[in-house]
Amino acid sequence: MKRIFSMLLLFVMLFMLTGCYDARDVNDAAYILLIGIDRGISDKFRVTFKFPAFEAGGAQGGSGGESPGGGLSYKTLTIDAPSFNAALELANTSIPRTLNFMHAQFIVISEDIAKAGLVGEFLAPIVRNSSIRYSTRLLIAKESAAEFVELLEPFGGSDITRMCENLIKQAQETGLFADLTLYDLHDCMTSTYHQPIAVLAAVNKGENFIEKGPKWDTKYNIPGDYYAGDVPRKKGSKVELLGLAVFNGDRMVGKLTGHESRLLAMAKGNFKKGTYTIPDPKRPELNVDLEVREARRPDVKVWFEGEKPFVKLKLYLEGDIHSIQSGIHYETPEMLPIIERAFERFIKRELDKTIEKTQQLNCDVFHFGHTAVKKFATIQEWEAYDWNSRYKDAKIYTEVDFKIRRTGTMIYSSKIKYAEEDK
Amino acid sequence: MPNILKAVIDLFTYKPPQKFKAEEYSQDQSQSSENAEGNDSQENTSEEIDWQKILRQADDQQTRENNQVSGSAANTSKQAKDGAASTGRPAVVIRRRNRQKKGAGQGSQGAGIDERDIALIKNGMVAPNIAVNIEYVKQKFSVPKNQDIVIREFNVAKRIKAFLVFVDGMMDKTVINQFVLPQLMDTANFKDFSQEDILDYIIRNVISIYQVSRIKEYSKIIPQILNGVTALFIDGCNEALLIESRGFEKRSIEAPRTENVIRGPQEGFTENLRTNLSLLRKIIKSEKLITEILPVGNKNRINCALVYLDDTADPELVKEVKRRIRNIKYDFVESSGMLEQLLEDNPFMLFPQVISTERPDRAASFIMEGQVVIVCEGSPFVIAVPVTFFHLLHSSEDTMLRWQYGMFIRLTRFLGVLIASLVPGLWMALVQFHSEMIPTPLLLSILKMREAVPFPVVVEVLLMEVAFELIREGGIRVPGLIGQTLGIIGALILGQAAVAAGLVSPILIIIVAITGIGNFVIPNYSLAMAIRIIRFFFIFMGAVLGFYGISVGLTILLALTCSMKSFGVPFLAPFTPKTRRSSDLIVRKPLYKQPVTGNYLDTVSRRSGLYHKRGE
Repeated sequence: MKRIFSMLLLFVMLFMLTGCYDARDVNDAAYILLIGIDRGISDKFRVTFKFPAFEAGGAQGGSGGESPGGGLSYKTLTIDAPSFNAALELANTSIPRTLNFMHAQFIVISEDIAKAGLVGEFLAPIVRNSSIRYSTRLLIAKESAAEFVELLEPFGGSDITRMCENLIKQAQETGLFADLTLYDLHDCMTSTYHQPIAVLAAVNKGENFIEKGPKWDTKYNIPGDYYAGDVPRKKGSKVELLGLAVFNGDRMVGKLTGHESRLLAMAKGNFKKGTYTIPDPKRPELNVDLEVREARRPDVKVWFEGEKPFVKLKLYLEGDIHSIQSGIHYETPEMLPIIERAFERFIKRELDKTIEKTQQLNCDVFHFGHTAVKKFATIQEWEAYDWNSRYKDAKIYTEVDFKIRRTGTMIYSSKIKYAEEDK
Repeated sequence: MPNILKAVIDLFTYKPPQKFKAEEYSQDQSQSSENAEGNDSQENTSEEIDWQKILRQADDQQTRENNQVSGSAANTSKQAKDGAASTGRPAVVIRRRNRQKKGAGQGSQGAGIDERDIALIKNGMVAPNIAVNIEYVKQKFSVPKNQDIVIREFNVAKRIKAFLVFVDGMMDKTVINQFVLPQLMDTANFKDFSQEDILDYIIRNVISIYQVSRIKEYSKIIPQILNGVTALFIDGCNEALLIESRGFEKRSIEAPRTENVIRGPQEGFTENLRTNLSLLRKIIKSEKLITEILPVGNKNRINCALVYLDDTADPELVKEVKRRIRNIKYDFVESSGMLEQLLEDNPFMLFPQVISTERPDRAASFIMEGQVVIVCEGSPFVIAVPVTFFHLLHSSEDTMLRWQYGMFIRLTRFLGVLIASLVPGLWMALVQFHSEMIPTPLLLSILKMREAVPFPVVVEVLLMEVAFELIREGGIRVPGLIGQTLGIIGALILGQAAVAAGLVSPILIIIVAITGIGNFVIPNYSLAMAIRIIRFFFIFMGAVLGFYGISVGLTILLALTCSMKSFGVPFLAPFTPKTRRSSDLIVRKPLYKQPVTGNYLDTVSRRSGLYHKRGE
């Protein structure tokens, strides 16, 4: 009897203590996929939600069940509210389902808010919300976040989440932006080691695409040297991610282009691979294409002379030749260093420019602080030194080491032969 | 006191029946003189000294019998030896047949019959007077009301009255017609017959049957008659001759129905005990293979055979199995399925505690591992004890295939168990509590599919699971070919229609289907049933408490399973408690690396370290 009673008690306790109350059917929730935040007109913030439309599919029998994932459509809702949580409540006055953020893909904050230094204020309730993952990606939208959220549509598919995930994954393929989360921004805002960055996003309206005009000469742009929304293209997806926003605390103070983002990634050791086009050292009107990878993590040395910090950064890169337009036989061991040195000079020049740019903004986004902190015995001393303010005074030496590993499927370049009259 | 204890233990120790034959008479004599009522319950308290004495006498007699050719001489010497205990019956009984003629006409055992006859028949012994016997048999079998029993009266060599008793249909007619009756009736066969024991003469010279035996007590004769043996009573003999004439209709050996293998023998057990035993003997040709036959069932008294390997099986285990079988107090034991329920350690446990198989090769492998196999009359399934969880998941194909393939299919099976028991529960938990764990694209398609479904997930899942159970049960019960059709068509149509009607979401059909398939992977039917039930338990736990509930459920289940024992062997034996592990549990090693017997069975040849072995 005693045993039965204790078993019963155990069971009752197990059931009373937990569970049950949290049970929520999947179909009772509205899964928010994108959150957009702008400065509001009728209230402080304008919050935009994007969620899948609750349309029944696959239940019609016959052809209805063929592709249950196909033909998803999405709805957006924009609300002006004093805070994020207020927006949630207001949203539920019109949406018949509980908003659920467990599957949120992007939090998009408009540049307005970022520049006004309202990010910290707005993110405070979001990071405390247990249903929003800390690993949700955070974007800074060039103009209106609401517009970005609305125009972010699946491209070449029907699934917006796959679109979001794969888009962010391209950061590793190109290095033109980075895979940064809510955590990266929120955590860095309070850091004494470095300053936060966030991915720049924009709606590309095709304004930079000039239909008619003089044809381009033999010159060319450095790849990815644009800000988000400025890429000269037509059609394709309406949105793009390119470059980084540089923050000082929670205030956005500057931007890096895609090209600069790559150099930043190289300096931090996050660079996977990317393609570069440099002028042929012997015939500068023609190009040499290189695919560049990081050979190993960069060396960073920091030392102090008095209060003044000195930084030495050495990059180790390696790569393959993708093309040699001039047909000069560079593939020999004697000739390869010519391209290598040319590329090293190019990268060093660009890197110096980028570092100078961040020094002007006084934002250590290169994470030199992580090395510098090792020179201090205590955290108190480090905090008293205030690295983030001293970064602009740092003297930074850079050095680049580049090796060509492979030359593609050709080991011999030969000149293009022309007929008599051209000679 | 120690004497009594020893005697009690001795009484419960089974002795092979051959040894008993010689001493039966004197045992029953002494018994009858002490308690004429035949009160069985008093036996063990009053007889402990007699047992010893009887054994001694039996030994003496046997040696004497070996020396002396004549059975009558042995009988006389035995009588002389017994002296006071027996009632001093003459050895040669032929002489009384003249007097018997006089009493035969009377029909009932009344006046004119020797008092000794009455005393014997009262004690359930064969009386020398044939009229008494015939009357006794008729009353016992309710002849002529009972028309199955045939009592054939005739004269042996035209001189001596005799009769045969058998059950029509249970025996082979040709045996009686060709080898018993003609030879007994033929006077030529009795030319050499002089004043000696007629039964002995018949056994040695007349009947050409491979197996005959002489028995005195009706308590032993009657079950034998019911088994199909023919009993021959001869006037003047206080013993009946049991003639082996069993021959009833039986099914031929067919391929096993429930345990199919691709590679391996395709023979299955049948309902016939002898056939089944011979199938086992065919595989294990060892003189150490012991077959002991015990009757089961208070009223129907079917035979079941204990088969084990003498030098491998744990003697304690054999003893325990026999103790349990002997102590079964149940009127009607029909098959091994019922026997299993009467033998198992814990009737309230969900998991089976014995393993039943239809395959002789599998049963043989159990025997070789040191398990005791119980073959039951009238059932093509034999049961083996003890059993562990891992036995239930093995199939004979595991070892018949090369070890890589065997390991692969075995792992598949373990996966099947996990799927069959957990998937619907996990699905419940996932959808109700942990939607963040579902990949977003999948979640969106689930949303879309479930949009038209009006029920909560629990109802949806239960609806489908119950429907599936119905189809499965219906598929088995529906006769013949329709069964399979019903299963497939039913599942297809029901699933399709349920989705079309918006009752369930398509993804649930997949869940139910994969669970069903997972269940079919389990080789043991009982375990599969258990898992089918456990599935509902996990659905409940998942629906109420999410993953927490699933883990609570698993913990409860594991705790209960850990505490389970099958004939003293813990159910999860080689893992918990941990013993020196046999390699043949989940992962198989190449055959040459793998010993046959498991340590946890505590076989004679190995020590598990779990228990102390006797004599160590």
